[in-house]
Amino acid sequence: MTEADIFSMIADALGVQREKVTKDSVAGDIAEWDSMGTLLLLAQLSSRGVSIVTGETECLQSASGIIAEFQKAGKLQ
Amino acid sequence: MSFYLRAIDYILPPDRLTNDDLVKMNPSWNAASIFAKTGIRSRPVTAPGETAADLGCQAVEKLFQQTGFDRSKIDAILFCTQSADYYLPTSACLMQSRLKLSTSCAAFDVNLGCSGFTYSLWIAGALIESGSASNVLVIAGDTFAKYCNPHDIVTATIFADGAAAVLLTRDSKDAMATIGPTVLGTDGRGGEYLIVRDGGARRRQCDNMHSAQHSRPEDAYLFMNGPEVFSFTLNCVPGGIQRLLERVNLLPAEVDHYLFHQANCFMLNQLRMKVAIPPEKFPIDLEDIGNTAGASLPILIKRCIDKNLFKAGEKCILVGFGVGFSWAVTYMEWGVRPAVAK
Repeated sequence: MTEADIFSMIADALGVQREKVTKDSVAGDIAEWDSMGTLLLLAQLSSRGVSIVTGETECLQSASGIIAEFQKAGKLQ
Repeated sequence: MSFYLRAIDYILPPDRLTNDDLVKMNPSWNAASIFAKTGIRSRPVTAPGETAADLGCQAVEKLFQQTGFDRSKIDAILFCTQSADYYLPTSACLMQSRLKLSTSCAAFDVNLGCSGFTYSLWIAGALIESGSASNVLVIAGDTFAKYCNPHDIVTATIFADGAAAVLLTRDSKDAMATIGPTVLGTDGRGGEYLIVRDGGARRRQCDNMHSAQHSRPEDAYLFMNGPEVFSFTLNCVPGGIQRLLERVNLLPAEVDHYLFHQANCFMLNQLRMKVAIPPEKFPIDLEDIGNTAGASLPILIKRCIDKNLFKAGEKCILVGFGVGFSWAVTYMEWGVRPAVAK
């Protein structure tokens, strides 16, 4: 996954336009990035083989946090 | 050695909390959206003063009526609950008296939530297989709706009240199913993510009332960190199922029914996809029941029985997971499985 792929994944999961998601995006900036949106993102990560360990789901509150998880999992190009 | 499911029944309280009721209390919520996300339209809820033990006793009485089983032959009663009547005594002792069971009967509560039913099957199986007991009642009951802040969309839309009872026996006579083995797991790091903080010995409510360091009002309610709970289930449940399949030497496709704790529709569908279970092997029955915590799995089983879903020889995997974090996965084969000499 490239960063651009991750932005697209986030946008698709939240049902927002791709342009709304950047590396600086955080949950508070996008109305659809609510508690349900966070679960949808988690499902997307899981389906791509990226698991979040217990106590670490705060990373799902920002695009940069999600990118970091892909990096940790060795899945960021 | 195995043990057997002789009978199963459940009770739901008659009062209901609908999505429309929740929207009346929270005008910014949307009833259709709640249903779309949770799969729940209404939830059975207990009346004030009505408890899980009340429901559990009713479920057991139904079970005795259904089977005609001699209650004096019950050797142990396990009440799986996190909605006990009192700090002490244990609710199971009070239920032993209410149900007029023998005073030679063992009685204790199992303090677990959504994994509690399968965990209790494991405990009951150990009692039976060790020769300590021949006939064990496992009752799973909870009233989590009492713990929910009605303005917290994460919990109030999901949790409900209910109880179920199963009679487990060493004797295969009149048995419905063969139970066991079970594999279990725990990740206590997750304890803080599904919790009622106030009311236990660490923060007794009566202390807090007079304390300068008063707890936050929301700490009296059930708190759930949805992403943490969801992440835990995605990480732990598939592995638990795999461990059990290896233990019983089955391939995933050889299982006829995967019966999961009925958490909520979204989580169940995600888990189903993660474990690659076909939808026809994965019943979801939440719409008018909600998440009844430890009772949800036996309620699901009974409702599947009532729909004639199970046929002799069919293989089922029972999956309980939740608060703790804790999980337990149990094998059940419908009908009586011939004993295998060891």
